[in-house]
Amino acid sequence: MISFSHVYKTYRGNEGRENHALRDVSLEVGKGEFIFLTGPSGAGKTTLFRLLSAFDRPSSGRAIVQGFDIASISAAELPQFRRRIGVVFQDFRLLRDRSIFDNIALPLEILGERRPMIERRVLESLESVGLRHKRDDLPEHLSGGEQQRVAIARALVHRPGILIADEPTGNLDPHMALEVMNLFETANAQGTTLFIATHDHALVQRKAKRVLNIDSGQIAERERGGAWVSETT
Amino acid sequence: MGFRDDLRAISRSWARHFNMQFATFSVLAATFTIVAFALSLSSNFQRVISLWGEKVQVSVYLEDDIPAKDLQKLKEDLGRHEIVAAVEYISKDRAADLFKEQMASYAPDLMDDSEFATPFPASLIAQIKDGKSGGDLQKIQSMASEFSQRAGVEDVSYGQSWIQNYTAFVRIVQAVGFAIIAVLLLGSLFVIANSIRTLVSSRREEVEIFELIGATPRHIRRPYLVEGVFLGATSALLALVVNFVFYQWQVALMKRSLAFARVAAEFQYLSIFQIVLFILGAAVLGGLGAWLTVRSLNDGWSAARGATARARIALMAVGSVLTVSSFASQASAQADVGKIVDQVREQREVLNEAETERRKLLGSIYAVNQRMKKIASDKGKLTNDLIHAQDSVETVATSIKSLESHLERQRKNLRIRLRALYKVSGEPMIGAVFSASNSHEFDTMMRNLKIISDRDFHLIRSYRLNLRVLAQQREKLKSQVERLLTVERRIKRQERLLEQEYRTKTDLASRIEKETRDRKQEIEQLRKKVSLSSSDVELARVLRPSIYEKKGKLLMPLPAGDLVREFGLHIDETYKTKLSHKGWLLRAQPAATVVATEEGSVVFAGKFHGYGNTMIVDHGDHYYSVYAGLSGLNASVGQEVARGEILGRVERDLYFEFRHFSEPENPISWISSKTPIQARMATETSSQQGAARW
Repeated sequence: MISFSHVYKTYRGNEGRENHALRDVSLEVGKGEFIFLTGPSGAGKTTLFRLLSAFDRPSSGRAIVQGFDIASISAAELPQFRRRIGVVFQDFRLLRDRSIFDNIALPLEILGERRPMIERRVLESLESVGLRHKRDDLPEHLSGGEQQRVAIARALVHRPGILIADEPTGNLDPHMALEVMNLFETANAQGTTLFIATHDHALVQRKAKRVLNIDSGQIAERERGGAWVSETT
Repeated sequence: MGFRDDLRAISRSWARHFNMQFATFSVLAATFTIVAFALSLSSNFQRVISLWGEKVQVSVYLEDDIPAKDLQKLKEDLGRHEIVAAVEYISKDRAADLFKEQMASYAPDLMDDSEFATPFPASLIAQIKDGKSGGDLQKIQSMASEFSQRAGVEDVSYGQSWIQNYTAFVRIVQAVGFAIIAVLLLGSLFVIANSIRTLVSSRREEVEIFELIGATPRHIRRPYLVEGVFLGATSALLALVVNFVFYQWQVALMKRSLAFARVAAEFQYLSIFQIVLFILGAAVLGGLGAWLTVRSLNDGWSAARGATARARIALMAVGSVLTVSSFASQASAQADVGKIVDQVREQREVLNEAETERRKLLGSIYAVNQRMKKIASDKGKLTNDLIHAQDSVETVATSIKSLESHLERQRKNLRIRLRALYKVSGEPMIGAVFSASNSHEFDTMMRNLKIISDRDFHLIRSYRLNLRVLAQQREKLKSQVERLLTVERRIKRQERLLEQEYRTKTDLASRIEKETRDRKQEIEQLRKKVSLSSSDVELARVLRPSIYEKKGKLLMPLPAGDLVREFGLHIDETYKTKLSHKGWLLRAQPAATVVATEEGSVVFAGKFHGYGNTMIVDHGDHYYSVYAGLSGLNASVGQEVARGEILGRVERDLYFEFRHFSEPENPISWISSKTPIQARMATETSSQQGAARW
C-alpha cells in the first residue's frame, strides 16, 4: 500500500543552502494498517503527509502510494489518485460558502455519484460525527471541534483506501476524541489504511498500534503502543 | 455535478461579486448591442440586394423611328416570352416627363429649351417573373441578347451592373463591419476572461480544495465555463432586447417621415434563427473567454504554488420780323420835287433797311450754314456710329450664329449623353435614384449620379451657360439694332429741319433781292422825273445815286494786272493754316495808275502800318473802298474824288478792299463785270493756277 524507499524532500534556502525536510526515508505500510506518526514540530511530519497525499512530489527517491508513484505521477492520474485517499487537514480546508452537507458531499460529487446515493451517504456520515442537525449550516458557524469533525466526515465519506489525518483530535475534548478514534477504527476495520499524526501520547499508548517517529527528516520505527516509551519521558 | 449545481454556482458568484459581475455584464451587453446592430444592418443590406435581385426588370430601348407595327409586334413577343410577367410601354414624352420631374430642380432650363426636344428613347419595360420560373440570370441574359438583335431596338439592359456594384459596396461595408465586430468580440473575450480570472483568484482556495479532494481539472473548470457562457448568453439577450427597442424606434421614426416609409417597410429585425445563432455565439464566446482563463487553472499542483453678385434750331425765328412791308409809298409822278425827294429818301431808307435785312439774312444764312455744317458733321458722326452699330450688330450676329451652331452641337451631344445616361440607369437605378421624395435624399442621389457622369453634367452646365450667353447676345443685338434705328431717325429729322430752314432763308433772300430791285427802279424813275428841272446842289446830292444802285458797276482800281490773291478763305497747303483775305491783292506794271472805283470823298490818306501809303474813299452809306500799297497820294483827306479819278500809282502790288462799316465785302460782287479788266479776268482765269490775269 505505501512504499517509500530512500525518499528525500529538499527545499532551497536563501543562501543556496539546502534544507532536507526529509532525508533518506524508507517506509513500508501494508493494507489495513493503523499507524500513528509522532515527532516534534518541524521534524518533517507535514512534509511526509504532503508526499503521502500527493500534494507535493519528492525531490528524489521512490514513493509509491496505492500503486501510484508520487514522484512521476501524471496530471491525469493525479485526481484519480486523490479520490482514493481521504485527508483530514490540520486547518480543515472546508468550503466556506457551502453548507456542511455540501462540503461533505463534495468527494462523492467528484466521484460522480448519483444524488440519492450522495444524500444517503452524507447523512450517514453526519450521523456518525454527530452533526446531522447542522447539515445546512456554513462552516464558519461551527466551532473548531465541529469543523474538525466535518473535515473527518468529508475525508471518510467516499471510503478511501488510505486516510491521512494531521492531528485529527487536536481540538477535541477527550470524549469526542475517543468517538473520533472509534470512527477511525471502524473505517480501519472496513479496510482503510490509517496514517495519523498526533501528539496525544495517551491515545497512542492506549491503542497500541504501529508507531513511527520522525525527527530531523528521518524516521524511525517504534515499538507498538504500550511498549513505546516517549523520549521525553 | 448537474445543472442545478451550475445555477447555484452562478448565484453564488453573483452574490459574492455583484459589482464586478454587473460591470462585466454591462460591458458585454453594450458590445453585443453594437454587434447585433451591425449584424441586423448587414442582413438588411443583404435583403435589399436580394429584393433587387427578385425585382429584375429588363428595359428594351427603342430607336426613335421604329414603325408602330414593329413596336406592336415587339411588345407582343416580349409579353409572350417565358420569363416575362408584364410589359409596359414608356413613350419618349413619358420618359422626358419622368426625367423632368426628377431633374426639375437641377436643370430647369434644360428641358424648357424647346429646341432641345426630348433626347430619351422610348422603351418597353418587361417585368420578370419571380422565383425559379423566371429570374435566373442566364435566361435574362439570353432573352436580352435575343431582343437586342431585333429591328428597331437600340439596346437592352437590365441594370445588372448596378446590382453588382451595390453588392460589391455592401461587401466592403460588411467586411469593414466584420473587422470591427471582430475587434469588439476580441475585446469582449478579454472582458469575460478578466471577469473569470477575478472569480478564479477569489476562489483559489476552493480550487485547491477541489484539487485536493481529487476533482478532475474538468470538474474544477466547469463552473467557470458555465459562468462565462451565462455571462455571454444573458448579455447577448439583453443586447438583442436593447437592439430590438432601438430598431422599433428607428423604424417608427423612418415611417413617420414619409420619405423612408418604403425603405422602412423592407427592413426586418433579425430572424429567429439569427437570434438563436447570436445568443449561441455569445455563449460560446463567453465560454471561450472563461476557458482562456481557466485552461491552465490547475495542474493538480496548485496547492504546491500560488496566479477623434438738342438741336433746337430755334430758327431763331430769323427775324421773320422782316416786315419789309411798310414801303406803301406810291410815287405820284406829278408831284413836286420836295415830294419826290422825300420819296427818294423814303425809298432809300427802305432800300437801306432791305440791305440791312439782307445782311442780317446773310448772317443768319451763315449761321444756318454753320449749323448745316455742324449737322453734317453730326451726321458724319452718326453715320460713323451707324457703321459701328452695324458692325457690332454683325459681330453679335456672327457670334450668335457661332454660338447657335455650338449649341446645336452640344445639344446633339447632350442628347446622346442623356440618352445613354437614361438607359444605363435602367429602371432599377432610375427607380432607386429618382424615387427620392425629399431634397436631401435627392441631393445625395444626384451626387452619386454626378460622380457617375461628371462629364454629362459638365456638358449640361456648359450648355446652359451657352444658352444664357446666346440670350444675352440676342438682347445685345436687339439693343444695337434699336440704337441704329434711333440714330437713323435722328439724322433724318435733322436733315429735314435743316432743309426747311434753308428753304425759308432762300425764300427770304430772294424776296429781299426782288424788293431791292423794285426800290432801285422806283428811285431811278423818280430821279428821271426831277433831273431835267432841278439844279439845286443839295437836291442833286440827295438825288445822286446811292452806292447800292451802282452795285456791280464799280471800276477796277487798276486798269491792268494780275489778281494775285482773291477774297476769301485761303488754305495754305504746306503750313496747314487758314488765312482769311478781306480784299484783293492785285499786281500790275510798276507805276501803273490806281483809280477810284467810284465817286466819293477821301477819308484817309497816309501811311498804314504794314500796308504802306493807303487811301480810303467813303462812298456814302458807310461803304468804303481801301487802296493800299501806293507809291504816292494824289488826293488828300476831305477831297471829293470822281469815279475813275487817279488816286496814285502802284508801288508794287495794290491791296484793294471794299467795306461796309468795318466789314469787308467780296469786291467781285461790286466791280463791273463789263470793265475790260473784269472781262480779261474772266477769260484768263483758267490760264494760270492760283492767280488770275487781266
